[in-house]
Order: sequence, then structure tokens, then C-alpha cells
Amino acid sequence: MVPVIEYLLLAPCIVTFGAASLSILVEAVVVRRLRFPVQLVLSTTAIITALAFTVRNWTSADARTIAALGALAIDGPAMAVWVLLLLSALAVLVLLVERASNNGLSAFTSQASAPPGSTEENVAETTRAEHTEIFSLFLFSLSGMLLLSAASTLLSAFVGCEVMSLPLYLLVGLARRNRTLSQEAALKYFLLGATASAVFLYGIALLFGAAGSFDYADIAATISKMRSDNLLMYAGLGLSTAGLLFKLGAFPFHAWVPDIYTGAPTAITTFLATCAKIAAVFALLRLLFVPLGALRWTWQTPLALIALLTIAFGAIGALTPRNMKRVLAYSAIMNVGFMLLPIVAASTVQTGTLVSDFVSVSALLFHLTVYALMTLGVFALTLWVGGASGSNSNFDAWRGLARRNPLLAAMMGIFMLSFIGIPGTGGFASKLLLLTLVWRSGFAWLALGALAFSFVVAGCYLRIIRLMFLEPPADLTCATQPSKGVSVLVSICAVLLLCCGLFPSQVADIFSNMIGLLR
Amino acid sequence: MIVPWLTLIFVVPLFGAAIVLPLRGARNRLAGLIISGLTLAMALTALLLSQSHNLAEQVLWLRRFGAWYALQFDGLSASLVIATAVLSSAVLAIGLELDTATDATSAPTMRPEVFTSLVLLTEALVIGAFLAADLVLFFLFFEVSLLPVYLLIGYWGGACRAMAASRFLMFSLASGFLLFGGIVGVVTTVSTVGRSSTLLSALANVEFTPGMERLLFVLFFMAFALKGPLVPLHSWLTAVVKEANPAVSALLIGAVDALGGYAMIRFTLGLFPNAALWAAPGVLVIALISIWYGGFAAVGERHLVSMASYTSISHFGFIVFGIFTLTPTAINGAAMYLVAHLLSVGALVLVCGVLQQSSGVAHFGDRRGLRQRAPATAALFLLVGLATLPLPGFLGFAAELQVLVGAGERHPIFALFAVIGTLFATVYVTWSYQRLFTGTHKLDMSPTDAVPTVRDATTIERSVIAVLLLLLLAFGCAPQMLRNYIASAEPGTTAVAITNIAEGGE
Repeated sequence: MVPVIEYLLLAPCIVTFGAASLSILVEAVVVRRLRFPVQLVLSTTAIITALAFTVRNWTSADARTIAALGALAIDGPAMAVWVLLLLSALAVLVLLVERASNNGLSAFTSQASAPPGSTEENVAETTRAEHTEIFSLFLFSLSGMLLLSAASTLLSAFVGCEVMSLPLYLLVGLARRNRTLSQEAALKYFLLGATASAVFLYGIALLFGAAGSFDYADIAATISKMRSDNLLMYAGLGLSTAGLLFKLGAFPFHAWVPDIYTGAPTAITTFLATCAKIAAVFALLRLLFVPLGALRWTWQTPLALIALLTIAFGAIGALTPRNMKRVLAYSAIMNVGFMLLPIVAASTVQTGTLVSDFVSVSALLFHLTVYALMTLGVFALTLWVGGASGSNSNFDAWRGLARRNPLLAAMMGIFMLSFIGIPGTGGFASKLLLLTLVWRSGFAWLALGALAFSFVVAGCYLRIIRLMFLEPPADLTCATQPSKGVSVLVSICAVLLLCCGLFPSQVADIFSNMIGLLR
Repeated sequence: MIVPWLTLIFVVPLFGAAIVLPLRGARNRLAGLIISGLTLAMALTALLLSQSHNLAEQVLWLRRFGAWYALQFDGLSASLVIATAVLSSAVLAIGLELDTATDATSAPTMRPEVFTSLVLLTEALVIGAFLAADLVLFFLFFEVSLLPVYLLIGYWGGACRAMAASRFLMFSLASGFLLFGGIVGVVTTVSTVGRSSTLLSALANVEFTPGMERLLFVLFFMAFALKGPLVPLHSWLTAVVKEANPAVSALLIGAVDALGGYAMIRFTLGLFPNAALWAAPGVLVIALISIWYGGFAAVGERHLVSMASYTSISHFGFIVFGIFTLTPTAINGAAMYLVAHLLSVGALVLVCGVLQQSSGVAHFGDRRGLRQRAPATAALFLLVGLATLPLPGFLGFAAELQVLVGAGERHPIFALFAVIGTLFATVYVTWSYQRLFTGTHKLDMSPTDAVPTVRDATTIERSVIAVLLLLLLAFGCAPQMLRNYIASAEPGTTAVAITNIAEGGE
């Protein structure tokens, strides 16, 4: 039999992957002076082309199939997540090339191989050398995310996960400022990430042992035929879930998040907080719904507990730090807990078919949209305000911002209110959606607990609001206007967030046809 | 073309808040007053039109939750909307003069134009909440109205105002999150039942399971008890008003907190009548404690505005008491009392502010014999105090009487305790008048050199407070107007709830 590859359906993956490979070539052949613009154009074009292909497939009705010999499920949810991923990546690209906030310098080190403070580094600084490899790393990671979120076999999930993670380990360690912190973060991330990958792989091996196949559909079929308890299957379920929970940064694998988020360059932190999480949570949803859906009674309650504990640890952790990126890291942990809620809320199961797919998937997509908007906006502002003060995003840069730059403070205020969940912002609509879903599937305690911790964490956002609006400005307060790219990005995020809050049904309708998971 | 009158009522101050921002100085204040007056005019027009037309607006808003953009204008909403518009105008007219800043550290840091904008914004959002006929829409206004109040407290007030503002927001958010939990429960229930709508008229017919109804009742009740506030949850209010500008306090205690009482009637009672019946004895006890505690504390309090806030706590206790006696007469009386409370406590706080500003008296005992220097202030203070008492002839008295008559039908013992509780008001009003205004004028406890000279209330201040007093007096002399109007609130949920109670309780 001649293998059939659905090139058109896979085009977004192929384009990103191809562009990533091409950008390595660019490093080799293009003169140094031109590398930056060429890489930038290449990345932008690749992402936009991939986006165009995705949208094209989205609108054509016949384009839902399990492609590439069963490796990738190109279904509605996959395409919706791809759109989210590619759009967020485009926004991250804006932050990646941002220089105005850093006195015209790139936020990435000029020579990563040189020890911090060494003569080699100084030489590289003076010659204004730059690592344009960040673009190829970025594209590779992005293509890994596209793979991971659409994976339909355990192997393609693992490959996607690794292609996503490996470039990220490197990118985390490339900060220009506070390089030792950044390198420490990279090492931590690598060691823990590699362990998590090993755990994930072990889980995959066990699932393969139990089901005799890597294919999601085959595993689901095996489980439905399972007569008695299969310990191998349960162990595989636990370990593979743990691997993905680590990538997500959920309890009990959340401890790495604050250090890595603080150490990494802000653009990379944004990438980690938006794209990596979107891809990982979707891979988790697919893994738990498609092959392991029939084991819902086994995983649902533990996952509910994990979700609540994630929310709790994120909320409590966010209260003490005085560094914006650290606070945002904890708030990301908390939001991961919320991302788990729609997965927990899977309500009806008939041998591998979760009837509530539809609701869970669309709720998750809506929450991810809102979360991506909030996170992109906030990190873009942090890059600006923290970067200008040079104090590694200390709170002092935000003191009295409302008086120096009311518009900036107002937009930050909108993001904070959305994180709290004030009605009128996207945060409220997504919370209402998720909590209703969870309560309806019988987890009233989870819904009320999540709300209680939302109140706890409101104290932290409130402190930032107070700092910006009520305190007098200090010397370190950021006083200048952000560059055009960043300010446009932030404004778009703020406006869309308000749209999500005031007209959530219309936003959710975009995803209404994109919710059936292919099995 | 159909004019959306109800939307206009809150849209006018909403846009007005933006319009007045670029204007400076006296023009800004005038513009603010004109917009507030326009809002009042809109509300009165709507009142006239509502006699002959059905003004209710209804557009589907959040399809997934069945939330509607729905506004209603029944007796209860209308009275409170108009009272809020009146109080906001009063605050706009004299608010900025009442600044309590004494030194450079507490001098306001924000342009005065922003004050006008924020007051208008608060007015718009509170009015929106009173008009909302949908649970989620109400929540939107309820929560968002916190933000302008937060900034008002944080920008204009004493040295620790930032702390006070944060405290206010934290407690209010707690109330908001409790309500959020309740709303999630309600939306869950209605979507399971299959009638996905959070319209009040639809919710009133939803059958909750008893356990769910009690849980939701507790969430809603706690939320509004925090907002009100009722006694164990009241500590934030007295702390906040000590720091805030008295005009802001007037707006906060009068209009914003009236949302708590309003929502108690409309939501806590309207949506969960059976659970209300179940909880009534406990709630009545809490309400009585509130009445007594507020009265006691007001007698003992030395800070003027804080004393007024204890009055408000006592009043709120009385309103809750009226509501949870669960007799139509008393509930109607509580609704009237709410209107009276909004105007009279608002006026009381404003008078205290005027006094504080014109004579530098923040605490009782700072000065005495002020009547010699400020006779008009003294007269206004006494009259407003008597209106909050409430003395027969003022609106509060008619309302109080009705609550007690209604309560006496079902809970005579409780009613007796409530009567005794309200007697404290006589003590603190007359005693505070005695301590402040009688005797010969001399400095008692403020030996500082920079003693401000005492001035009397200005013409604007006098006329503003006089208007509030006249309104209280007019409706007090003809209370049946308001009573019949509020009682005509149908097909609002109140009526439904009362019928339910009457059927279930007998």
C-alpha cells in the first residue's frame, strides 16, 4: 500500500518546520549584518503562511481527518488550537525583536558561550554580535507545539513534546541581563524537563505494554474490551499524565515555574506562558479524552484534586513576591489549574466517547483565548516597564505609574481586573463558563474552592493596582512611551479582552464548529 | 422609534463622566451638576412614562448563560434610582469642598476634574444595578461600581486613604466573590433544568432543590450582608469612612451600600423564598444584633462620620429585619426605609462633613458651643439627625412604623426588641448635638496653634442639605404616595416572593 500524506492539511506543520530548517541555513550563508532582518522576515512569513493554511483548512468542511498515517488528528480542535498558537507566536515574535525598551539592545545575550562578565563577552558586546539563532529555535519549538497539540499517537505526542522543549531549554538561558540567573533557570528547566520527559516516555511504554499499540484509537479500543483492572494501564495513565502536567506546570510539578519564568528573557517567558501551555494542555485533553476516556472514573477525581491544589498553590504563592515576573509566574500556575477544570468536567462517558467533549473543548478554547490575551498583554507591559528600569521587573518600576503614564496604567489595570475576574472582562466570562461546567458535572466543591482562591489571589492583583494608581511615583517609575509594536500589541490585547468580556458568546461562537475530537 | 429611556438614565452619567473630564474649574463642576440633573430628569421622565408605557428593555446578551441585557423600572427600582440621582447631585455640588486634607501628606494628588467624573461613573453604575432585571447584568454593575468608589476613596481623603481604599475593595471583592459563587450555582441549576435564563422573572419560577436553595441563599445573603453591612461583617465600613472624604462616604454609605439592601429584597428573598423562610429566625437575630450594636456603637463613637456609619449599620439591620419578618407589609416598609435611609444617612454624613470642614472638628469633644459661630450648621445637623431618628413627619418614621406593624403581626417579641434598638438613635442624635453645639464656644482638646476659624455652612451647602431634608419631609407627610408606588412593583419578583412566602408560610 502506498502511504498517503495529506500535504494540504499538514501544511501549517510543514511550513513551520521547513522555515525552521531554512533559518539554520540562513545562519550559515547570509552575512551577519543581514541575518537579523532576513530571519525576522522568514519567521513572520512562515507563521503567517501557516496561519493562512490553517484558516483555509478551517473553512473547508472536508478537511477533518486523521492524517499522516494516523500520527496527527487534524480535527476541529487541532485547527482551533493551531490558530491560537500561531497568533500567540506572532505576538511573541513582536516581543522577541523588541529593542526600544532595552536601550536599543536585544534582550538576548551577544555570546551565549562566553561566561558572564568575561572578556569574550565584552568583545561580543562591543562588536554588537547577536544570536539570530533564536529565530530558528523559536520556529522549531513552535512546530513541536503544533505537533504536540494534534498528536494522535503516543509517539507523535512524545516527539512533539521534545521538539517543543529542547529549543526552550536553550532559549531560557540566553538573557542579556542577569545572565547567571538565566543560566541557572535554563539548567533547572533542562534537568527537571528531561526527568519529566523520561517519566512521560515511561508512561508511554507502559501504555504500549498494556494496549499493544501507540495509536490512540487502538488504546481506546483495548480499554473498552478490558475485562478486569489492568494495573499496567493505570500506571501508564498516571505517568504519562504526570509528564504532561510537568510541561504545564501543574501541582505537584509546579515548583520550577517561578524560577524559570523569572530567569528567562521576558519574550521567552511569554512564549512559555502562552504557547507551551496551550499546546501541553491540549495534548493532555486529547490524551485523557480520546485513548483514556473510558478510564474517566479513575482519573477524574484525582485530576479535580490536582486542579484545586494547583489553583491554591498558585494563589498563595502569588501573594508574597515583589517581582512582577514572579507574580505572573504564580498567576500562570493558578490559571493552569483553571485550564484543568474543563478536562475535569467531562461528564458523560460511553466506552471512550465523552459526550461532553463539545462543552469541555469549547470552554477550554475560550479560556485559552482569554488567558493568552491577558498573558501576552501583561508580559508585553512587563517587558517594557521592567526593561526600562533595568531592575529585573521589580515592583518599584510600577509605583505611581498612573500619574506618569495613565494609558499604560489603565491597560495594566484592565489586565489585572481580568485576572481577578471582574465582570466586563474576559476573565469573568471564562471563569463563569468553567465554573458552571465544573459545578454541573458534580464538582461543586471544586467550583467554590476555585472561587475562594480567586479571592485570595485578588489581594495580589489589588496590590499592583494600588501601587500603580494610589502611590506616588518613585525614581524608578517607568516614564516613557513604549515602542510602537509593543503598544499596538498591548492595546489589541486589552480591547479584545474587553470584547471577550462583553460579548463572550460571539467570541465562543468562533469555535462552535471546532469542537469534535476525532478518534 | 422606541426610545430606550431606562438605558438613557445610566448612559447619560456614563458618557457625562468622559465629557466633563477636559473641562476645568467651575465649569467642570457646573457640567457635572448639569449631567447629574439631566440624569434625574431622565429618571423622572421615565417615571412619568412608566405610568402609561411599559419601559422594560430586554435583549439577549450572553446566550450561553441565558443572561439578558434587561432593565426594569418598578416602584422599588424607580424610587432608589431617583434617590441615587438626588444624592449624587448633592455630592457633586459640595463634595470637593469637604476635603479633609490637613497637611501636605494627605493633600489630594489627583486633579479635581477626576472627582466629578468618578462620582458620575459611580452614579451611573449604581443606577444600572438598580435597573438591572437580570442576575448577571446586576452583577456586572455591582462589581464594576466598586472601581470608581475605590479610586474616590484612594485619591481624596486622610493620610491613610490608600490603606482604607484597599480595605474597601478587598471586602467588597469578598462580597463579589460570594455572589459570583451564588451566580455560578444559579446558572448551573437553570442550565440543568433546561430553561437557561438568568432573567429575574424566569428565575423566580425555578424550583431549586432544598439543599441547593439553602446553599445559594447563604452565599447571596453573606454577599449582601457584607455589602450592607450587617454586624459581624461591618468592620470595614467604619474604618473606611474615617479616612475617606465625607462626600465620598455619603455616596458610599447612602447609594452604594443601598445596593445591599435592595439586593436583599430582590435577590435573596426574591429568588430563594423557601430558604428565606428556613433562615428567617437566625437572620432576624443577626438583624436585631445589628440594630442594637449599631446604636450602641454610635453612642460610643467619637469620630463624627464614623458615628454616622454606625447609624447606617443600625439602619441596615432594621431593613434586613423588615425583610425577613416575611410579611408583605414589613417588606414594603423595609423598601421605603431603604429610600429614607439613602437620603437621610447621605444627608447626615454630608452635614458631618460640612461641620468637619468648616470647624476642623473630626471628633466629638474637639470643640463645643459651635451653635454660636455656626447657627445654620447647627440647625441642619439637628434636623438631619431628627430625620435619621426618625422623627414623625419624616419619611423614615412612616417606613419604620410600617415595618414594626408588619413585624408585629408575626414576631411581636422581635418587634419589641427592634423598637428598643431604634431608641438608641434618640440618644446619639441629641447627645451629639449637645456635645457639639451647646454650651459656650471654646477649644477643649485641640491645643494646636493652627486652629481653623469656624465658619458657617455656605449657601450652597445649606441649600443642598435643605433639599434632601425637604424630600424626606415631603414624603414623610404623604408616605402613602411612595408606599403605594413601591407596592405596585409588579410583576417584579418581590410580589412573587411575597406570595410564595404567604402560601408556604401559613
